[in-house]
Amino acid sequence: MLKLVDLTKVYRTEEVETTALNQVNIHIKQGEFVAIMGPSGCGKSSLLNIVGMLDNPSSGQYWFGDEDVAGYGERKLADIRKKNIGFIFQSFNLIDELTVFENVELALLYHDIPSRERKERVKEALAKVSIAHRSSHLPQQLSGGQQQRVAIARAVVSRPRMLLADEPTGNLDSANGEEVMNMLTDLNGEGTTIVMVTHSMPHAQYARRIINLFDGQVVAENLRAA
Amino acid sequence: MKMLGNFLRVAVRILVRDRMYTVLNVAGLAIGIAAASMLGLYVWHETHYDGFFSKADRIYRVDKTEFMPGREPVTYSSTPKPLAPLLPQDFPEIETSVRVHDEPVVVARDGSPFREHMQVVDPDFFRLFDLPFIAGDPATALAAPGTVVLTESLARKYFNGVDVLGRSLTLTNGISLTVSGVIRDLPTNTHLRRDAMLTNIRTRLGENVDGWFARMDTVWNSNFLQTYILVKPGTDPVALTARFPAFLSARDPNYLSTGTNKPSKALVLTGLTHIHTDPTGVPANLLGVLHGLEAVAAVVLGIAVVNFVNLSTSRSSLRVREVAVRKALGAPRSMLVGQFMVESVLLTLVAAVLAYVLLEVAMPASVAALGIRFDRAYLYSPWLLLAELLGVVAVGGVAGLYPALVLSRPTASVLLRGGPTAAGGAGVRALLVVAQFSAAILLAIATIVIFQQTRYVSSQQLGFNADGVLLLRELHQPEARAHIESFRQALLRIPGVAQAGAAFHAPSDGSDSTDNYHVPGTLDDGTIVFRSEYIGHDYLQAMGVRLLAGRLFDRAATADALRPPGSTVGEGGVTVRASDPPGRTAVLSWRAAQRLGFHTAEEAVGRQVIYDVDYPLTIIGVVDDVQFNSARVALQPTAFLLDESGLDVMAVRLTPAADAATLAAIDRLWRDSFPTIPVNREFLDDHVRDAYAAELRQGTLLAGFTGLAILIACLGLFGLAAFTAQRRTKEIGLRKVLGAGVPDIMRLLVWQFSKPVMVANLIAWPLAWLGLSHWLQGYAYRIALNPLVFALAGLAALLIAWVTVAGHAARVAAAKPVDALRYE
Repeated sequence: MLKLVDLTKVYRTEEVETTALNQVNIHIKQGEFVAIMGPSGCGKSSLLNIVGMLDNPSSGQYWFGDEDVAGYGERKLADIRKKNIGFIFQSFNLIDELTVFENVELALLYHDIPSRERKERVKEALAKVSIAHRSSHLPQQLSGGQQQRVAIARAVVSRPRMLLADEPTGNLDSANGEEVMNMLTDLNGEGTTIVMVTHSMPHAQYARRIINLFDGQVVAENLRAA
Repeated sequence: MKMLGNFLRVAVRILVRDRMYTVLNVAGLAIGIAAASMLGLYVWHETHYDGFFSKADRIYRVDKTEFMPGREPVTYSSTPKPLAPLLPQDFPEIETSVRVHDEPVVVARDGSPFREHMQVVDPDFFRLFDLPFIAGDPATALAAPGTVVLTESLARKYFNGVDVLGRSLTLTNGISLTVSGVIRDLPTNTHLRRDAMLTNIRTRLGENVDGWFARMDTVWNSNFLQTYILVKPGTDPVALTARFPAFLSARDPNYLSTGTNKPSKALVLTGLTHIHTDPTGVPANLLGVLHGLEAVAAVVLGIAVVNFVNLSTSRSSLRVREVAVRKALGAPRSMLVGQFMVESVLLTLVAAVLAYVLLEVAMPASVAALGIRFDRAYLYSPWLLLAELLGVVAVGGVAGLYPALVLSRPTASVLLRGGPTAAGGAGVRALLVVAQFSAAILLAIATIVIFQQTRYVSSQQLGFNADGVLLLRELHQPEARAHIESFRQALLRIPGVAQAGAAFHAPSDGSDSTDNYHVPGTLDDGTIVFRSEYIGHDYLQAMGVRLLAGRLFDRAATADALRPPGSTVGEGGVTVRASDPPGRTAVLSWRAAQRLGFHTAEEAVGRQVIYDVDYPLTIIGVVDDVQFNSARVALQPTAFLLDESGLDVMAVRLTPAADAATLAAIDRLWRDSFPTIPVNREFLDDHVRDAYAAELRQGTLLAGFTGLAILIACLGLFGLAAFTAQRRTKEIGLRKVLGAGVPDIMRLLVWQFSKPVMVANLIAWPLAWLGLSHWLQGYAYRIALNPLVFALAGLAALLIAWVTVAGHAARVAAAKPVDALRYE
């Protein structure tokens, strides 16, 4: 599905040059569930930015399918992104002014989908995360767990091939955290590739493979026993 | 479309949530749009005079430029009577010509006299000016003398209806005219008299007019009527004008070609649609003023747009997450830019609707206060609505483009805490505030200076005392002419009347009669040109003109006796011609005495001066210089000449004790003396001030729109201050924890907003100085620019800015630091 070859990301400011990712090589296959772990500042967010096509690497190759997207411009990246990648964030990032239904629908508005089908798919996605009864509420009327379920619905409603989750349970209590992890596992079971950054070892255990980053380099890869 | 709905929902909800921001933004824009629209409508009205006539592009007014030795050429719209009929004869490209002469008449209704304007015109009048008829036939209505065409209003005034063909309109002199047509009232945007009646040029209007008017048929040096021509399609006015000198030398017996050192003239053409704004040969025309107003409209709108930009970009941090999420979900930046643009266009649309309401509400008051005129029908014309709609899109687009670029800047990576956050364009905002206040200060300085100059010129030393002088006009009417002296004597018996004297014209009447003078024995090279003012015996006394030497005209002095034409005067026995002054004495203004070479006023008294070629006058007195024109032109040297044949206006000096009863007694005396002439009186100082009405109106207009510009700029500053106060709450809390007091914080915030205003002063001052110096060049008498005015305008702007931001600063500064620190 995706292959990172000698991927390097360097941030330059006027005074300092920071190497966030250093010669990273990762290969993720279709349908995998991969967790990325590591201490703060190890390069997790930079990696997710690049894998999610929100940023370009400084050097190296990023093979997505059979295309090297490392040098693509924003317009091309946005196009690939919206067709293939869904995002789940630690702080949910729902838009306060839109209802639950509208937040989820937003993900389909950038696709060419007729209104009737769009409504169907939003309902379906909300039902899948068991939040359909709240569809006309505004985000601030929901609990954190409920908000994250809406965020998941928004991430999957466009039926992406890959889900990127950035500490999806970081702002949740353990019960809600478990529920979100179960949903991700189900989605993975249905064939969606999932790449998740997390600090939580128990939640990382849901993944089939755990990649450990340190100082911008992959230091260990562990395959969970099936 | 689907995207639009979603986006609008967000936009509307954000606008509702941040009510203050929305109100400030929409209000500023609405006021800006309303102000610009009002000025725009006014300018449109003024620049679209007479365009509604279907042959407007083929109609020209024939104007006449006079070249007098020693003077700048002056162009008048008045032409001699024999000109018009010859034009179509000599120029095949001229289809027809029409003369228009305005003759005052008095119409009787129910025993009372009413002053009306009668337009005496050639029968082809309606062929040029196709005014819509309610009754009658435009082709024949003016064909025969003795008929009259009325406007709808006049028909209602005299007959209570418009179905009045064949009815008789009676003048107080007994002449009766048959109504042959009723036209709709003329629109406001025509240079033709809107309140006039029309009659055939051969109609007899009374003895006092008919004889003179018939004599004028062959007189080429008396210019008193307007000449219009209709040319064939494709005629080049420049080529036509080039053939006029040859025409004049063939037809006008008095014509001398230009370029000699003698008086000469030239005919020029003014296109019908240019008559109101920029007639040919008139240098300081309305068009310049209108362009100025257009600039003011643009500035006011610009300030409102800048507000919009500033308030929008200052809120960008509130929308970072929304933008980032949309981008993560695949929205390209171009789409987001488009969406923010749509939002600003919509906000502009709301503002425009509000502006429309504002315009409707404020229009009657502004029309009254500013004296500007426009046809309300424009407001509902589909073209204007379309233009407004396009304007909304343009203004919304201009105002929204930069905010859209700023707002759409955050990248999706902010969601993953990896990338930079939105910058928000703070630098650009500061720059724009500077620009706003520069413009506002510039306008403020201009307003003050224009008012100062107007007050200066209107209170300019006139050479006479204009306070407490009443002008009574129309003594030249045949019913009054013979009784002027007895009327004057009766006036003097009214308590409160101190002095009274009559003249041909009053100051600021726009009369412009000049003649050549020279001292006997010197070379008459035609370069000494004085204004000739024909007056009665008591006029200079009544006007309060200051005598420098000698005496004024005196009934008792035999030297001042008048000679009828044909008698002989002087040692050489010169025969008095009809065009010579009937008196043998003259009173000169000080400037005239100097021009003749006298070094003191006393030196001139008793000496002789030659009027025109050979007519000698004795100088009996020298008076202070008198400003009989507006201060746009320099004081003209003036010769006062005695003549009682054409006295028309009586100057009545009142005592300080005069009151309403005095005026009532004067009116009563007039009605008893001249029952067929309506009372026509005004105060001299009002009349003089009227000469500056245009400047006063421009000043008032400018003051009004300057106020609006400052108001809008302050709305923006208020919004920015609110935003800054909110954003710096945490910083301010920390400062307070570290020991800053309320005054320190106040100073901090107020200083932040003082800087741009101070920079704005530095930009506005030199620009204002340059622009206003240029404007003042147009006046012969002008004020010196006072740096204090500049400083005051700048200080006022600063104070207003302080007051605007002080509220927010005080609130934030007074808050408990713990609240500030909790805020995040």
